[in-house]
Amino acid sequence: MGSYTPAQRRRTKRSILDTLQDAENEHLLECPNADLPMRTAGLFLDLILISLATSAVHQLVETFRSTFPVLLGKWVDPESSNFVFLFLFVSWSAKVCLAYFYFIWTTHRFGGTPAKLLLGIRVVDARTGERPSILWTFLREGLAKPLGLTLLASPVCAAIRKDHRALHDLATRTVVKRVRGGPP
Amino acid sequence: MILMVPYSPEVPKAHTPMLWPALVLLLLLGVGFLRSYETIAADYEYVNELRATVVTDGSGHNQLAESTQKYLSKRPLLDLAPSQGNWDYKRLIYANFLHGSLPHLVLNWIGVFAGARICTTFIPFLCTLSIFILGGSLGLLTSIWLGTDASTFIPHIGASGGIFALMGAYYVYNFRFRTLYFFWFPSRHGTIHLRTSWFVFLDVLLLELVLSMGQFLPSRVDSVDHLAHVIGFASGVILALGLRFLQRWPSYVQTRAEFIAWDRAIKPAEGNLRGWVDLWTSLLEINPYNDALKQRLCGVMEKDAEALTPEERATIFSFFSPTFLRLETVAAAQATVGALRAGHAPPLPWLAATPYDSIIRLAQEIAKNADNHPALLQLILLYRRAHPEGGNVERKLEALVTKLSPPAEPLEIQSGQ
Repeated sequence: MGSYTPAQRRRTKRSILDTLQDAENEHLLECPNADLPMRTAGLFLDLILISLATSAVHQLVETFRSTFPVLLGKWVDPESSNFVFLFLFVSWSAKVCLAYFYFIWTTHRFGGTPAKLLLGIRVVDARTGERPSILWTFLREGLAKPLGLTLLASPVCAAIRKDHRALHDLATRTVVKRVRGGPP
Repeated sequence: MILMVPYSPEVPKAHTPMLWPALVLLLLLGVGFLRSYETIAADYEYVNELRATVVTDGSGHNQLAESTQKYLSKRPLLDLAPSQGNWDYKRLIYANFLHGSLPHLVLNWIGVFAGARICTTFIPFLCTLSIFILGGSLGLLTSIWLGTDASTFIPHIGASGGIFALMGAYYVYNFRFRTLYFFWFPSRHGTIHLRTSWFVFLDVLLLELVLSMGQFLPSRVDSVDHLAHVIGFASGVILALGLRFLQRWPSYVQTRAEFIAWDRAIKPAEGNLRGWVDLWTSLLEINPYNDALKQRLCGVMEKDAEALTPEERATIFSFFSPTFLRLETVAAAQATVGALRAGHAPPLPWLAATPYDSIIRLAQEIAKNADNHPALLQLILLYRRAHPEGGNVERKLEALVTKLSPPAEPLEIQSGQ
């Protein structure tokens, strides 16, 4: 028979780093919420950065596509459907991976997309101040945000509400905080 | 570069770039465009009348017929601009000031304005102009030699090679520092501060090298002269490195004002640590944004804190701004631990002025090494002491100190200022 251990005893001892992380999370919750112009600036900058990155991927794939027939000569027919499909698949796979890392992984790992981090705003769990889990980040960045932006519900919601939370924030229990002021 | 325009190196307001050099270059490009406008219009009409004939050569590649090549060799623009089959040095230099259309001119105006303006923080206008012309001309020349155009009589024009040369020169001078970028968002949030080295990777290496690679291929990805961009950039880098070498510009100096002060200062002897600290702090008073100097001071604080007077330590800590703590957390943490281990506490005025999140960030870095835990607790206690009782920060620190059980006996420290 197994022995019963009360829940409090089973809790592992928290390290100093965990304690400091809790302190940081608590501080994040107390930071002011990011307003609509700042969030819009973040989205605008995100679009610029992701377009630069996808453009680089596109040009890289196109360059390889032009190089292959030159290098392999008669072994490759650049007009064949298999060849065209292969490069289309590679190009889109790379772009999807890029979008995943840019929007979802960075938000989960660092608390914001590169543009948000550069502007000094962070996405945190509205209850705990922690960074959102990968599942909630996926729901936020991959589903709720595109839907909310397409239907214009997210910007309207952020503009109307006093706490500046958009529809995708409410749907995924997150909040965007302004963690530092302007430049030094 | 057009989507994210470098607006200024991150320097104090007194050292922000001057406007007039950029305006002079804009004017030169505008005059060049107006003077060549009729020729460009005539060239456009001349080329529009062409009915190109394509023939297949022995190796199966398509080429323009000889009659077409002859027709193109007499196009009016070749009187002003160079091409692979017909060029000279005068036209090569003049081509930097020519543009094929108004949108081409406007886009390059943005680049020239940014490039010429940001360089003035570091180099005189004549150097800027020389780098623009030399770098741009070398870029165009390489592109003419190595290009795989359908005809040898396609003129190469535009200021973009020169703009990239100016960017290269700017990166040489400001690579280790930060830049303020403007991204066209019509609000006060429309600028960001970014490490210059990150943008070099994104803009120049990632995009331009890939695109110029594409230019060598038979079917070009686009009609932009990326090869001229890359060679222009490389020329700008080499010219600026040469200039820096001749000037004997130290790696840790950012602005011209600092360089002039450094040049005029009497240099301390090699082992005279306090003399160097005095010199570096005097340079930091000119430009408190210089992170490279702060990193040097962090190194001194980490290893030789006991060799400094309390005033010197207080001065050094006063330069550790929240942004420096955020960006160079490791160096700042090592300096703080070094000072605490030597028994010297960080000064209380600095602790009082440092935000809570910066201290937490510093504490997180210090906590990564178990040997530093006594110093960490000491730092938190000192930070608590520096803040008035009853405030929100004091409440949070009270809870934090309770959670951080002391792993060892507290260090004996001298009280800071």
